[in-house]
Amino acid sequence: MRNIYISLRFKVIVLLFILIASLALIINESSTALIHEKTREIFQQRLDLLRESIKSYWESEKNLLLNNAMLYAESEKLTNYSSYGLYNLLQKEVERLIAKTGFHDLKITLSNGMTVSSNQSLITRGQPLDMRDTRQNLSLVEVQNHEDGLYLAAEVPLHKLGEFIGRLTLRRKLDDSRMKRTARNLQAETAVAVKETITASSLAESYRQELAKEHLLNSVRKEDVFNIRFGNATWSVGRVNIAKTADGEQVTIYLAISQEKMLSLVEDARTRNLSVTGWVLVIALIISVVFSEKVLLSRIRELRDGANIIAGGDLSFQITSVHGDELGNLARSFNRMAASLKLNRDHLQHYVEHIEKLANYIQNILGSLKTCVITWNIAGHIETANQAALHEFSDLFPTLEGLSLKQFLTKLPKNSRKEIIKGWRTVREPGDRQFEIEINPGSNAGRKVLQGGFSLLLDNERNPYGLILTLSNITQRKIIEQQLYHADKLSSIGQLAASVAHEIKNPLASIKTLGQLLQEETQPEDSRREYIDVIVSEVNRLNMVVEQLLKYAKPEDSSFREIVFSEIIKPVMSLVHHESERHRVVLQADYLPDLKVFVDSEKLKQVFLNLIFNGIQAMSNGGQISIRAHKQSESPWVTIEVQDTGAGMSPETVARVFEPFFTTRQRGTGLGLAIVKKIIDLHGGKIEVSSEPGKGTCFTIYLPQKQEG
Amino acid sequence: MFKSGKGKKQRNHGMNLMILLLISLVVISFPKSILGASDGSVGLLSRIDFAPALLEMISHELERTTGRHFSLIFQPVEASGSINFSDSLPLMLVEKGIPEIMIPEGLEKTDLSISLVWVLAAGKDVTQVLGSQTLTLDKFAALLAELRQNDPQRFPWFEPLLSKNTMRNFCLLYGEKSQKTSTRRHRAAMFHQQPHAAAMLYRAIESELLNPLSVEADLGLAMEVFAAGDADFVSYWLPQSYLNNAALRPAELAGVSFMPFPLSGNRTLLPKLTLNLWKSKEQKIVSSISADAQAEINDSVVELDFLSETAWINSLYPANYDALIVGDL
Repeated sequence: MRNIYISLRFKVIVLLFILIASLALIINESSTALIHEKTREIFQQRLDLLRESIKSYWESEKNLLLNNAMLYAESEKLTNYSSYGLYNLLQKEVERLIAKTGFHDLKITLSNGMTVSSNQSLITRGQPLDMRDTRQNLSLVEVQNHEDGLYLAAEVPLHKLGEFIGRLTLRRKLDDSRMKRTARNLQAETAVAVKETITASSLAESYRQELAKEHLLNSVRKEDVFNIRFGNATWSVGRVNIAKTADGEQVTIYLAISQEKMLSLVEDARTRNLSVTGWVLVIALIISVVFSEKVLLSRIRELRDGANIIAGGDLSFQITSVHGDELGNLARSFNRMAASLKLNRDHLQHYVEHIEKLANYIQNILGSLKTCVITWNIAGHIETANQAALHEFSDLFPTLEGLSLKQFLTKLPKNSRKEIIKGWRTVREPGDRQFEIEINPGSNAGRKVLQGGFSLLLDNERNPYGLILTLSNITQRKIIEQQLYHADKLSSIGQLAASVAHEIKNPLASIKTLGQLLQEETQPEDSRREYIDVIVSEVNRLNMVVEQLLKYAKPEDSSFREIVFSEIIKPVMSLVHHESERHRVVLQADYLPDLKVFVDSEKLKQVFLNLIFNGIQAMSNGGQISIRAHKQSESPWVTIEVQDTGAGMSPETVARVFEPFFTTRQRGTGLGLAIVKKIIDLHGGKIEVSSEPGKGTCFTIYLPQKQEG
Repeated sequence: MFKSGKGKKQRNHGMNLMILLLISLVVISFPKSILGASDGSVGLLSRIDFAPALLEMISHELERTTGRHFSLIFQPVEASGSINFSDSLPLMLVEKGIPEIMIPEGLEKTDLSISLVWVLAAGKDVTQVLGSQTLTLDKFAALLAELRQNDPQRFPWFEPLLSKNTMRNFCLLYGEKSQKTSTRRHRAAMFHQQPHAAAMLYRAIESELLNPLSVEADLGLAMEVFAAGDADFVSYWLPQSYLNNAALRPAELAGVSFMPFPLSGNRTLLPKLTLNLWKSKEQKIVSSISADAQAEINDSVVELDFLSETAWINSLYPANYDALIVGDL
């Protein structure tokens, strides 16, 4: 799988971000939990405090009411109006005093029984007050439970110049609006209950009913603090028995705090924490970006750039800004590494140069060697091959390096393969086993004979890690040996033939003379004349054979010079033109006009004359003789082919075709091709014959560019 | 003539704009008169301690007289006769008798004046009882006693006896202490038989006919008591024109009857205080009512004069008031 590139800066930032985010979240959660706990604690404390506060609040309400009543009682207008029977004015004044005060009503009951009330338009006349009742002069605050609601009433005496004139009653109705006001002041929902009834509440109606049920239940349970479900929210409720009514009924106040507020506080705290966390994260992100850049990445980048410079080859580079931390240590190590690399490279360069020189020297040696040197690895593949090897095998393999043994052997003749394999297998045996192989490069190059052998390639520990095959081209030596053999053979034959020829030459001369005398002495019509003619012609033929034999055996002088091939072949073709036409043989020549050969031109003409005449004689019904001459650029040979479309020769005939006196014709000396071979050998060349019965014969002559030897 | 639909709407809209423009022009030209705003302020220079209700009546009367709406600014006259001026006003109602030296410079007296008469006001219920009867002193006393009997918790008569002018007027009508002295016989007599005002009032208080609070009451309180219905009778300053023309009276006085205080021997005296209108030369004030429309009084009038009344207040009021308080008759 392909590696995905992720920037280190990104990793550092992400890591730092994750760390700080985790920390912030943990702190957030911890603090939120703590806040929750504290909030709950405070909540409980608040509830307890509220329960205490309501008592004070109640007292303050009572005191406020009482004080106001007393204040009103001190009103000169009230007292005057009360004292002097100005009841209508008193009514107006009472109404005026009570207007927009929040009090429910203000009532003045005069000692004469007249009652003026702010919420009654009529002035009523009741029983006079009992002046004997000492309570008439008392001030009091009481809770009054009437049908229309619960009231907090303050009663004070009314005096005019020290004389009791009546009582003033100021009432505040403990209704829903009052409860709501109380709720606002206390920051808690309130409800007041008397007996089994919730008389007033700041709660919504549905909640009120729930509380009413709870009130009924709680009258049995007597819990002062409990939870109650209002809708979907849970409320904490505190209960306080605050007072008793004038009739002795218990007045209970309920204080309810929604836990939602507490939860919302917690949520607010959480949100604030999260907000702070968010800001912390943002700042942390900025710091991590700056930190990663300044402290980490820029220096890592410096190291990277330094590594790139060193990779580019400049080992003299050194990191200059080195700090006292791990990256600084890394930088120092980097510098040491660079210095060490430079030193090693310098050494290496020196060794490399030395090795290169050595390699070049060895390469030059190997390249200069005429001997083929081929190294094989232990797996059987060619590791190296010197120039001589490449040259010798160039016709078979474009390159030798990498070839397996099998591939190498494939293009070799069977016997050569056997020799190679045998040599490979017996390489470890003691002794220097040499073998010869033949390679036949192709139609344009001559057969080669290479002689060589395998050697083990040993390492420093004398362990074999390959083989060396050395081959020397002994083709010329083989040719020369053959030539010498032939020459020797021919020389022997020639010497024999020459002595025989010389011995019979004289008798033949005598025979010929006598024959010619008999011809002169006999008439043409003589029956014996035919026999004498035959004797003379045969003697002539024998003389020709003797001449040829003597010619064959006679070492002749040669005159080699470089000549254009056309100067040799054209005269030849002119000479044989008449003969070829007579036998209906087409002569065709194919050669480059500037092809040059280094030959004895007369002898070579002789060669072509012999070959062409042989070809003509082989095609009794006509045919074609092609003469092709060319030279390959890399080859030292000039190749000349003389091909006919005659009857061809059998393999047995081919094997003996160059033997002296070997002939398949009735007439002929059997020395023509032997003379041809002798001439070719004389040139240091080679002649080969290939023939197939019915398909014709091809003589291939290889002439060296320059005379060897 | 008029195009229907959109054209008519556009025309109506244009007319409304024109009307609005006209109104604006009128408002700009006569802002105070159209919008009910004051045409200016008129100073009120008098020794009377005017109650808000009385000031209201004077203001209405002034508007009726001049055809212009003014706001009244009361300039109190100290007992010593000194006047405190807060602002110089182009128009002033000046009590008759106030020396011109006390009147701000630049003002000149006009022919316009507002007269206030000091009368006895009877509540609606009593008015119904009285019907068209003339209230004599005896009848007054009897009526008071009857009213008291009907409702012992209530005093049928109330007076602003703290007001020096009220005391003066009572003394004018019923005599003053210095002039007459009550005797033992008088002490036993009913209030209306007392020889002088202080004795009468004291006796009335004693008889629980006159609300004792009257001793500490000012004009404003008295008018409030009467308006509240806590008294059936009270003395009342009334613009003269309201006396015989109930239509001119404010709505809260509907059903109330006003009459001269009953005197012995079936006499009637009507104390009258005249407030003359003084103006600056730039002011153009004309009467909006004809001379024939001026109220006529058939009763004998006692023209109250600032100087003489002030002199009495300064000299004789304390004794009469003390006599009222302590009962030193």
